[in-house]
Amino acid sequence: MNSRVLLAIGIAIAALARPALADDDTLKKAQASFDQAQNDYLAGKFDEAAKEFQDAYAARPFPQFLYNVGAAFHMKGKKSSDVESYGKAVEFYKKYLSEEPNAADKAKVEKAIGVLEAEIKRLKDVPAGAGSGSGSGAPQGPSQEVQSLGEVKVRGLVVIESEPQGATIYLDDTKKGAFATTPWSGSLEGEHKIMLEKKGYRPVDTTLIADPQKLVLYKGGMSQDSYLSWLDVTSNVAGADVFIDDKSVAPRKAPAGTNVPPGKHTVWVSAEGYDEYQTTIDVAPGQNASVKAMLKGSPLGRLDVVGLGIEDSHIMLDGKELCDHGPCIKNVPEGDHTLTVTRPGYKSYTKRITIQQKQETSVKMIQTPSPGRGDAVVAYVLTAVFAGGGIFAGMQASDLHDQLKKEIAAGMPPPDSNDPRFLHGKIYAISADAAFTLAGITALTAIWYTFRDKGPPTRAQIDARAIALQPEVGSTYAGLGMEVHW
Amino acid sequence: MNRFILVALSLVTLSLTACKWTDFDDLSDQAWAHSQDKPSIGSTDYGVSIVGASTSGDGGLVSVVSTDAPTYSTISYDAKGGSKTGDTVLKLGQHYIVSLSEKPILVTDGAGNVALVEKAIDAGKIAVVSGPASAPADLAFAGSPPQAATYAGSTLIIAAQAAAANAPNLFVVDGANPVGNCIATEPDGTTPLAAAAIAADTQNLWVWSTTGDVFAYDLTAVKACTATLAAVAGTSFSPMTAFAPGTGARIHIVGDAAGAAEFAILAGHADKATNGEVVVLDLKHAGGPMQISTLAADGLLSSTVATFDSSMYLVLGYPTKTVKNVAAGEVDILDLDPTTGTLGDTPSETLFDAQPENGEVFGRDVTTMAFNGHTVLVVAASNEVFSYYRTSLYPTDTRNPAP
Repeated sequence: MNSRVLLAIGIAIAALARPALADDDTLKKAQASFDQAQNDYLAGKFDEAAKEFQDAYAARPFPQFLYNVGAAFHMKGKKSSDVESYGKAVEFYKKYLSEEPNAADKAKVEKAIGVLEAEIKRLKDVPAGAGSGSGSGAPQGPSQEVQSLGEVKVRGLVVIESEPQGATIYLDDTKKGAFATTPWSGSLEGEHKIMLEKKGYRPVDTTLIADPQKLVLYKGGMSQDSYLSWLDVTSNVAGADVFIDDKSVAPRKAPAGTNVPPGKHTVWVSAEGYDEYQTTIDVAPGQNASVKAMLKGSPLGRLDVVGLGIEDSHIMLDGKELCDHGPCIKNVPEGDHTLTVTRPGYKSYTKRITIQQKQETSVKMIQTPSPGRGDAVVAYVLTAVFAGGGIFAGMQASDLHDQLKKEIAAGMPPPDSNDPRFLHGKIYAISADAAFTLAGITALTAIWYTFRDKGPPTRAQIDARAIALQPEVGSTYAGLGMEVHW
Repeated sequence: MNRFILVALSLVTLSLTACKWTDFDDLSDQAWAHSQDKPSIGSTDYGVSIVGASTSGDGGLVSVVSTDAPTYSTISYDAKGGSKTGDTVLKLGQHYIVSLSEKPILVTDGAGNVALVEKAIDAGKIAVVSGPASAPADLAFAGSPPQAATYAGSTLIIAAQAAAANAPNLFVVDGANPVGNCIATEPDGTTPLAAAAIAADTQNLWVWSTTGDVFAYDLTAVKACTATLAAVAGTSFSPMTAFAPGTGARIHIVGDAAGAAEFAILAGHADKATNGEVVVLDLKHAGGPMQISTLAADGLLSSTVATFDSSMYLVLGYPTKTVKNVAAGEVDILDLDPTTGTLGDTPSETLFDAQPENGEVFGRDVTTMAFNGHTVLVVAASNEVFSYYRTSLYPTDTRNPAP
């Protein structure tokens, strides 16, 4: 065995035997180099920055570091029209893409590579000495294409690791489902809550502020808990909502795994268009349990409720809230449904609609303001006036009637048949009857005015169009394609 | 909400709150007194003088004299108490009478005939509209302005103011014909008769002179009435108050079963507003007429003697009397003892309009009417004639059927 082989075996053994502490050291070294490189980069010391980014990569081979090395050479070449620097920039950009073939900025990096390679060619084609003040049109700086790439900025990096590795990462909310598995590195922006869960370990979480120009590290140390049990919930419907013991909290997304206390647990799994699945499972301390929820669903169609002012409208389907406000696009089981759209100050709309499988039913609302009730108020006032007049006249008639009746009975002196009080009483009585009649008529009118539906009703234009879903497979993707015909 | 229910509720509410205006018609029908308003007969002052003209049978009849322009009409009452203006309405201007005195002389014979006696349009003539109340005939004959008139049976006797010495001042009309006139003198044998009121019993024509004296003429002689006529000796009486009667003065004779006079009731006033007086005389007193009782009656303008439910009353009309602080007039009804001639100290009943109006002149004339076989009181006021189908003095409703 030669000495080179022995050295390789030694390195491998050392790597295998490297304790967790060694990982922390390399990470810290990578971060220190990154920070120094960033400072050099901002100070225009691009060679130093490139070296520090390479040191960081040597400590922890995150592909973003390679991009940053390329960026440093890119900027040096741009400043000095240095062919060699441009060449190194192209080299490290290509390494970056080699290690991160699905990078989100792949197209942009490839474009930069092309521009820089053209720039190298352009610089090499320039005769020697053309650039030293001859005034012959030789290039004095970067080409227009290089200029158009703009100032290149180095990229920050978020690194999430755990001890031990292999923990599930949840970002912000478990209901979003698992984000990734440690170790993970990549780009994030803004503030996020990071939650780590691993079978047999107590979950940990922290809040992380991602700086797009810094290396941000989080490493969650997870302690073992032999008492906790682990519950895996899977479903035939990916992304189905998973509730464990409490339906009022935000659901997890299937597949979901979590630590649970030993004992009985109720699990609900639901998804739109499917019947809810529910089961109860008894989990022993420290054991793993799993629930496989097979959801049975009914064929779905899509309901799309839109229209002017729909943002202020409340949409109900079959008496249950479908959307708190519009626009409302929901999958709905096929069949007949009662759609109700209400909006404050506008006439409500209720319509029996039929949702068909694989069809989108579009309901475009044309809402009509509710009519004013001023005429009803006037009618009520008139009713009160007439009723009051009727009561007054009726009381006067009654008083006169009683008075005359009493005087006739007494006979001292007897009123005569032409006593004006008979006529007055009659007039009062007729007036009272007329007033009561008018009060009744105006009351009915007022009630009718109160409940009548004045003006055109709220209406809707309903269109149904077919939704065709078909599997599609491409060179870099696979999924469902949709065609809509109407 | 179901609109049918709303309508039903409204109708129920209306029926509960509705006033039956017909109740006032029903109540009006039950009123004890019936009022006949001025009909459209061409007079602005309806009911200046009235006299009951019916004698028997269902319903009743009242003759009415109105003025401005002068008319004669009747009120015809049905058995239920309803009334209407009779078919005969005489515009008196077409019957010798162009104007009426303040208190037109309207008398009845008690057998369905009436007579209106007035100064005729032709100077020196007396106009008479007389006969059956529903169809009277006119008559005019030479004579001085009339002062009083009365029926003695079917004979109409008219006392007039003598135009000159030895001029006729007493006229007799039988039916539609003047049958005689004579020169009547007062008890002194020389002074021409000046009568404020006259009335007849079966034997005498009693006179209440304008000087306040009471005396009598023999009725047979009066009916003959061809030359001079002297008062019957021993009938003269001068009331102690020396009361001189004026407009509206009446002398009522209360007779015995045979019709002979027993008492004379003098009712009148010296002027329109004051000095009214009622005096009752015992005509059968051995020493000549004796004053039994007197009653101050200021404002008295009309009077009549009536028998309600077998009881006799003196009815007095005071058309200017204040009632309920309004000068609307009232009618007092006093007990009259037909045996002793005594008047009640206070009215047995006082009638006035339950809704009095100023100037109503309630009681400017009073009379009685035979109504459904009963005697009921009728009172004239300004443009109204009240018929009392029931009072506390005859409490049983006389209408048939009673309401």
